[in-house]
Amino acid sequence: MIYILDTSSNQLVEAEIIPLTSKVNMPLKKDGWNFNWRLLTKQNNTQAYVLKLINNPKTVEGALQLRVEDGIMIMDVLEIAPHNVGKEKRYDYVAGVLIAYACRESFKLESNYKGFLTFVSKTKLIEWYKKKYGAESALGQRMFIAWESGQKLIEKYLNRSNDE
Amino acid sequence: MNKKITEPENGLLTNQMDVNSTDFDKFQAKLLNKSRARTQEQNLNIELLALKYKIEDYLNNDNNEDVKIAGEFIKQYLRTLRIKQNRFAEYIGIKPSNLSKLLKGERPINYELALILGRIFKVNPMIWIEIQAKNELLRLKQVKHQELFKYSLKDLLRMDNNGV
Repeated sequence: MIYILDTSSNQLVEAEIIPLTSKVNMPLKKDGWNFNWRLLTKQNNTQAYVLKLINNPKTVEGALQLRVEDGIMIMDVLEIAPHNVGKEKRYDYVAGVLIAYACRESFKLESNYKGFLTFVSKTKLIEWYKKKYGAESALGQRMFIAWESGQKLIEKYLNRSNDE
Repeated sequence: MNKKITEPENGLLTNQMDVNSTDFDKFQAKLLNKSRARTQEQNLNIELLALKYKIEDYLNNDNNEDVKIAGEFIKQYLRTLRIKQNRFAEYIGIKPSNLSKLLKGERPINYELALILGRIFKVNPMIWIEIQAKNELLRLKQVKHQELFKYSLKDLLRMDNNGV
């Protein structure tokens, strides 16, 4: 079961990741999202996903876009909802859950790159990715999460139990 | 000295990967080297994890167009581990002909065997029972489709109110 943390009550709440396929779940710029998710969903060899609470399916808490290129899993876009950013964030673990989900998808590849999740970090966040998610730098801002770290993230963020 | 960790101040956490560049080629080469440096044991663990995730996905998927029997997953395990069916049958103490029936779905996996398979393949023994239960429910749902329509909570309550 997937849980994210309600920072006001310090309680874990059930969440789910579903493919972004309809307008209903679309993160929109007018709501403070940075990326134009509407355009992304039209691209080939990509799949976008959104993270939502089970008991509040109208609000998107985070969004992820994965793309496979030459057998490599690329986390091309990772964005958390405006209300989940900064010290006053409503929910925590949103980025962790989405990154763990992307790592899990990378295990399904049938290529030499099975188990590697790759992405381009924002310059300021390189150390954050390293420290918090076990990512490694490879070339400039290009980073990857290898299978050992990926597996740990999957256990931590996707197989969490509510009695923690 | 530890580098300072900057928490995200903006919801967008990645840049998009430019895959049409020499830098991407270099990045890919680095990943390939990493991948080739894995030990045989590491590769096997990755394959086993990938299979575990595929089974979990099958159980969680509500789209049931592609029914997979438990035996198919066992076959995948044996292929990944390069273990011959006869050798496996001998190891778990059943006749090769019975294993063959089990792999084809002509014999069910009992609880004891689920425990053995769970132990060997490092998965929750329940998954073997769940795969069978899911497939049987799907089959019955199709066969008894019309018959099931006559049952509803509304009818049950109406019958009770009428003192039938």
